[in-house]
Amino acid sequence: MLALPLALALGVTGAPGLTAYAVPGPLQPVPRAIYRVVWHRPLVPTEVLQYLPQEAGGVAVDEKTGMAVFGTRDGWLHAVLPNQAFVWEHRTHAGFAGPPIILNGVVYVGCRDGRIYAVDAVTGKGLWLYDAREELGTRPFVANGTLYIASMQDTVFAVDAKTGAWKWHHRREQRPGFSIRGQADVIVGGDTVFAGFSDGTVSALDGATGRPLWERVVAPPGDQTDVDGLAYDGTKLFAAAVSGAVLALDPKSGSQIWSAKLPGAGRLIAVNGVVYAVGNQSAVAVSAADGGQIWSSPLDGGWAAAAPVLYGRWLVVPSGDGGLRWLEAASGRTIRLFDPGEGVSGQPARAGRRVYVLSNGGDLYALDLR
Amino acid sequence: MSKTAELTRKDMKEPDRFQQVATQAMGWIGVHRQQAVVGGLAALAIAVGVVAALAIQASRAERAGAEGSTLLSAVGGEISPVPLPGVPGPFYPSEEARQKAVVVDADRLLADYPASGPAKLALLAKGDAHYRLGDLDAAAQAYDRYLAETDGKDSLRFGALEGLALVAEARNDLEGAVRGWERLGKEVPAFADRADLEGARVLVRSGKPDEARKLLEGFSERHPGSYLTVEASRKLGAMGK
Repeated sequence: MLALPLALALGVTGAPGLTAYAVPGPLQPVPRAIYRVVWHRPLVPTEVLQYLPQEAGGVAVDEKTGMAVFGTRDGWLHAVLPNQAFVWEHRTHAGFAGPPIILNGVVYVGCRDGRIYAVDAVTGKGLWLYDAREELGTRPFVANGTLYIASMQDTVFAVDAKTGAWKWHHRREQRPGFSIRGQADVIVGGDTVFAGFSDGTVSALDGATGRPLWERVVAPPGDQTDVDGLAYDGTKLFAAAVSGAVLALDPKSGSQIWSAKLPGAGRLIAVNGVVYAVGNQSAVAVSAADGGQIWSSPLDGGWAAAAPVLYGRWLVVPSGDGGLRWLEAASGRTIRLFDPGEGVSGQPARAGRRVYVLSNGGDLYALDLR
Repeated sequence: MSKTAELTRKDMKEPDRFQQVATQAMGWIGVHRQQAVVGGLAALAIAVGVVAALAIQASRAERAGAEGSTLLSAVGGEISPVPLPGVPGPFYPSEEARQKAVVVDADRLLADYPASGPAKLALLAKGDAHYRLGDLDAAAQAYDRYLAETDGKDSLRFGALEGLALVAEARNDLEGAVRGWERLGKEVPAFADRADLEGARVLVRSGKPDEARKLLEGFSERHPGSYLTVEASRKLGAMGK
């Protein structure tokens, strides 16, 4: 009884009776084990009467050392090696809602306490901090010696990446009424900084001065017009508007090239001619050339918690309570779901085969892709 | 209140609706002081109870996630009689031992946190492990339970439906296997191409090559753009005329 299923499951050819038939053996099974959990480490103690905790900070990985750096809601910035060893921890005054970046031995991160922190990646010692006095919850972008970051209150800050000295800021008046909590990460293309705002505007700013090169309202009319996702592939700028659209814009003028409907569009990436976007009900893949839909995949109650990432043939989607969904990038079929209990709201990070995921419960999971 | 947009002096002198209701409520409380206090305390107790229940639920979800990660570690465990240097465990002396460990971990999770999300996923892992161990009844039971506990839109139902078709085939119930693949194609259209290909394979095993050929001949029309089209053509070619 044991031999046949085991042989089938292990892909052993020549299972009794199979090879004699004209149509050869079964298809390779749908991969059941895309990854394995190597270790997991609880980091944030559960608070009394804590309800629906979220860790939206996300993880960054130093590609040279494999060190994972991430902030948690208790205000600590952690650095952990692939073998679980802690390298350092750095205390801030609030939690994190956006991931850090690691560049030239420096960790840069925006914190909900309103400060941008630059921390030595080896020692964890603070190099400088800039007090923006606005809640920060997006990934910083460093280009041409300048760090750019968007606040949760519709301001883009530019500071010197070496010293933290203020260079400029660009503020838009916040839309009256409720807006979706979150903000698009700023993107830099050449000398231009692209930013999205809660009033449905996308702006192109001069990287050196912050002067607007163009500003356009791109979001369709709706209750929440926030532009919460931006991506740039070198020729087109892509935007996700919560009022229900994924758009391609001309980066030089901001004029619309195409628009595709996606309810609650919140996050997106553009890779190899395909735009992968996540809304409040589904994830979609559309052609970067013309916006034609390639596939749409339901999120089973999940939502656009953070931008998806592409790991080889897998599109990995952090979908809040829906967990970390593993979709076949070619077909959009959900093949696996990583559910650490309370979901995943931050972007995972990968170095080689290792993927780090921070659960909403405050546990760091190390997965190895198979 | 005037129906015009402007407030008149008369409007401003009259109490608005909120003021009227608030005055009435205060009057009632003044008369029924004892009932008001009891009602207020009851409402407070209910609110505290709800918050506490939700917090306990969140804490249980976290622990269920931790047990789920132990299960996933077992699913991906290494087959080696001795620990391998530089390779994270767990290690099992044989495939059979690994699958048995998966069943034990899945059963623990299902017993401890039966209503959690990770427990649902444990049902799939448990079904797969039983199938690999040749315990087909237990495998079918786990897959059936997964289908019963998820709605028709659940993205991972394909895993249970595929498992049931494979279980039927392993029992040599080839008609049941064909029905199983048909069910997968019907209930999860995203996997209909795969279901057709596997269904054709089982039809050949059942001695029904004509039906299999029919299924494969219409494959590219039914599944335009499927990455399995080449495989379907290859299998059709292998069958000959």
